[in-house]
Amino acid sequence: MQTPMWLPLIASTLACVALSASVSPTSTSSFLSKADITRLKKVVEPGFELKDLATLHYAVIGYNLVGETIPKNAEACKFILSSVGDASGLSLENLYYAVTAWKGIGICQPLPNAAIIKTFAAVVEKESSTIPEVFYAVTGLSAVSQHLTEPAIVKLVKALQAALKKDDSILNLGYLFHIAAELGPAGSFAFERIEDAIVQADEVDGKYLQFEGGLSITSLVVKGAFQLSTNLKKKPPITSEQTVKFANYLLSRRSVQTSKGVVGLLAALSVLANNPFENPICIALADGGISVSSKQPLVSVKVCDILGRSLKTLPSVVANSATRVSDDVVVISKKAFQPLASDKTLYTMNLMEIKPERGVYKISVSAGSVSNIVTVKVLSEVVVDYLEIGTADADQTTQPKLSRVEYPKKLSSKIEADSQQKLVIRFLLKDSTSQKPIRVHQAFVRLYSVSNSGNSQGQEIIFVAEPDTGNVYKFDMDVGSTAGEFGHISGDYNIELIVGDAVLINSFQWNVAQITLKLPESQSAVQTSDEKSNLYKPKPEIKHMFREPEVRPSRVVSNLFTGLCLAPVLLLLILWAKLGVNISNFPLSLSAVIFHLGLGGIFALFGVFWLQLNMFVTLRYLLGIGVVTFLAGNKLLSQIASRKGR
Amino acid sequence: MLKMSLTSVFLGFLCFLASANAGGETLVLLDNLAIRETHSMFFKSLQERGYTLTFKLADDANLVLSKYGEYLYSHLIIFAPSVEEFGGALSVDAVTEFIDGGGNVLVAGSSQSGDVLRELASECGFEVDEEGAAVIDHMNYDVSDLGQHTTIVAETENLINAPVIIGDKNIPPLLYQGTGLVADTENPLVLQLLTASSSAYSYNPDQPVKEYPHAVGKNTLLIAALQARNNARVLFSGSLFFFSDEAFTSSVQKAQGGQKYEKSGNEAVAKAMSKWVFKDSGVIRASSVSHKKSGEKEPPAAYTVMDDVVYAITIEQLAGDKWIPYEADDLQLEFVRIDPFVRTKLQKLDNGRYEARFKIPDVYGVYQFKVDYNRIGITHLYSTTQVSVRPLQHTQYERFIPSAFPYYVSAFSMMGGVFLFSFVFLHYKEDVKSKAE
Repeated sequence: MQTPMWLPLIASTLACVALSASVSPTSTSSFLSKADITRLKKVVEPGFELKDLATLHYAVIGYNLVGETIPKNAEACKFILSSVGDASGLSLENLYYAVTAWKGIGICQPLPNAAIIKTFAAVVEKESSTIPEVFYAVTGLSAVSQHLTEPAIVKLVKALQAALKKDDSILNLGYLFHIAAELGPAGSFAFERIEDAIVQADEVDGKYLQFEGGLSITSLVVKGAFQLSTNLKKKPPITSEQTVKFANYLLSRRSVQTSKGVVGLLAALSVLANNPFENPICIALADGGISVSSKQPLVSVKVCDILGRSLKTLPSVVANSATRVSDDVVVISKKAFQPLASDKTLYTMNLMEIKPERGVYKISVSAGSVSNIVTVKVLSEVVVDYLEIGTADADQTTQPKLSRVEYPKKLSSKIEADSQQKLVIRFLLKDSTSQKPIRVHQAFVRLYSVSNSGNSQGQEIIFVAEPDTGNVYKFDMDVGSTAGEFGHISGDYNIELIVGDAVLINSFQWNVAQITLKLPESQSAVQTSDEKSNLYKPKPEIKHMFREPEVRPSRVVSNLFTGLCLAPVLLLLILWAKLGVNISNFPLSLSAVIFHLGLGGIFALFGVFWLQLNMFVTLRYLLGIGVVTFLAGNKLLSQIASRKGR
Repeated sequence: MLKMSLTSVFLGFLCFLASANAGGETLVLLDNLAIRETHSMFFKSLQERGYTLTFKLADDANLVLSKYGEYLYSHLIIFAPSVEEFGGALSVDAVTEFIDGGGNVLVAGSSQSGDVLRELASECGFEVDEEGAAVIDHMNYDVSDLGQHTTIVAETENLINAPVIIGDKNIPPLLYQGTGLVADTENPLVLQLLTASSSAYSYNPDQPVKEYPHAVGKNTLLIAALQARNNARVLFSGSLFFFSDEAFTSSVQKAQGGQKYEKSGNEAVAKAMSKWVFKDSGVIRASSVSHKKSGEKEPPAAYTVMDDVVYAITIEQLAGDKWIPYEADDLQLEFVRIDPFVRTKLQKLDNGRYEARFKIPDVYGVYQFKVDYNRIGITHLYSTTQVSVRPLQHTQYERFIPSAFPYYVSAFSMMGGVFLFSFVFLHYKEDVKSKAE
């Protein structure tokens, strides 16, 4: 059922058709590169640490798919054989992993085939087996080169159809295709289900086709469908567009990180690349070939299959058209790419022959029957024709005083500007080859503080320079009105011109001059910035100011007055001592003794109160002593009175 | 005062909540399920750290964040740049409510960010550039760039100085492809995690620059974050590509000459940032607070002015599901009566214990010991303990003041004089007879 579409004879005629229908590309834009394969290999590599059968299975199959010899195969064999044992202790899935890994290594000692076959056959015969189980069993059987008998196949087909009626999820369909591919002609019952499966695929961005569930299911179904078709020698009901979209999806998943995903991806891609019906072709720019300039005038495209191999029949590669993106002008039509002798997958074309303007071009490339659109940039070199810098009065009464600066030098003198003036820069950019004035995407003037004080507010201020109709860039900065943007911080600033564009080879930053700005003062702006930056910083320490003790008179003064206060009592005592006091009237009665002791006690209590007691305790004591003293005093006075009266 | 103590209880409660949700249920909203695979390394790293990820399409009609007033998820990842409207019960309001309820959100946009993300961003204090705009840097673009200089190389020196958020800064440069953000500089809660270099700007690469770009130079934010006052964390990246397997694994080299790094720093930074945003790092709490008079064991019922006081606090940080001592040397204690009277450094002892000694001011009243620790990337620690400070009792004043000696002496001399005089006055015997004799 080979379609004639692949005949190179009519490929070129079809190219026109492809051009008119070039809405969606009919080739993939990427392929599985050497670097990708190395990376994928690294993902499966840990399987050879021989931890479990599943990862070993993926590692072996993965290595086989990329054509790599299996390291440590003796150990791997030993591990498989010891894990299998007599095949009774393993789950069906693990047995499948063991058997397929054993087959993949290919040089191992024989397995206990009889026991294995028995296990697998039992699963196949059991009617309640699920489709994935049957898949493991059937694939396992074919791995040990055991074919099912005719009646067994008939029975299995019936069982499968019954199972499908119950559950025809996309996962089951994927497994079904694989089982059917193993069954030979009897598998044709599954062939008609391919279409059912394919219509369930979701389209993403108009570029990818995938099944819900992602890489594992998509790769399973695609691989199964093509394998089944190959075995039945019938073209699958999948259009070439769908194939390309499936391939696109699979290739977009090159960064997969699971060993299961890697094996699914590699297997599906190799089936897509090797099946006899539809092999997606990749047309893409060769590595780093996006930029074209007078130094590197060649556009080189890579035309290969999705595994990066050259095509069996080398197609003629033609640039159908090249369109400038900015204004849709077609600059090339029907120009052939020259095959490169050293690498059969590379084709080159000299785009600079027609002297295209700088810009982004979309080139529609066709190789045989397929076409794709690649984007290249034609780069040019920019030169500064002149640059003038200076200051002028803000009210434009005087002509600006401008001085020229040569690229890449810096203005030797410092510019000074205050709030009444404005900074003026004029410059013209030219294409170095055509000497025409050009406009660029980025023409910014950046002012940044010379003393990088770490204050984020005043660090850099960027302005856009505007081109006029003659493509002369003008930049006017009124110093007074932009003071706020500088955070009102006067000082030295560097003036830098940034010229950049995606289609320039030499985007540059040029330190043009230094300017001293004298900006009007403002407080509010500075303060708020301080508050913000301090939120996350430790606050200043606070120490409490204790009240100062009041100033006291000097010791001498207080001692002097202490002495003066003591003087009357001392004087009294001295005089009494001199005069002599006769107190022999003291009655030797109890009341007199108690009264004087009590009076002395009260005074002593006051002394103690001063030293340590509080008022309530003092009053309590005072009450006791006071009452006794009062009574004793009363008695004493009445005694004295009666004695005097006698 | 009552209000203050209530807030402290409330914040303490929030700290507790924060401790409870390390790991946990995470809802992941995607544009399409392919993102789950193209960003598998990032998701895998989250799953390895114990998060339960629930993947849903952002326009799934059955999206719910909360049921019966309880949030079903503690974290939300929105990797759906182009979504125009969330499905189900989810909306910008629902997400902001989720943040107000303490939920953490990680959002990644792209050059084609939808309006709903723009709205969500502005709720959090960021602004996303217009649709179609991308961060362009003609000086610092990667060799893998597709021609528009939008795959830029972000230098690690432009990362914020906060190891708790972005981890080690000494890593290869970062790959970024997406839109630019700007943050309101007046908003103190917004953290500028990654900024572009001076030569970058955010504009539509297909159109000539006619207006002043939305973001230029270092003001162009690539990744911004917000730690709300309730400690909920929001991280907003302008680039979904930043988290992709491709960005994690590819090499980095500036096209205009520059060192080639085999592997970008994206993976390290993305992991560190996801740890931070989902509160695996930078979560601290005060586990115990004590205060007492110097030289005593128990805190007094009330302090007296000019007492020497010892305040101790133990601070712990969350590491995995364990609390380990937190080490810092910029902790401060405030002694506050409406205004702080004393602010002093807390000295580090051992095992996360900190201590401060100071003399209580000579002003009495109701005070608080307050530790208000607010640092970039760390949950806000706010602990207050209320104590009363009373004036001196009359027995506590100074007793033997030299300049008052005249008073003491005159009082006691008077007392002594009266005592002696009482003898003389009562019992004086005139020598009348002897004179007469």
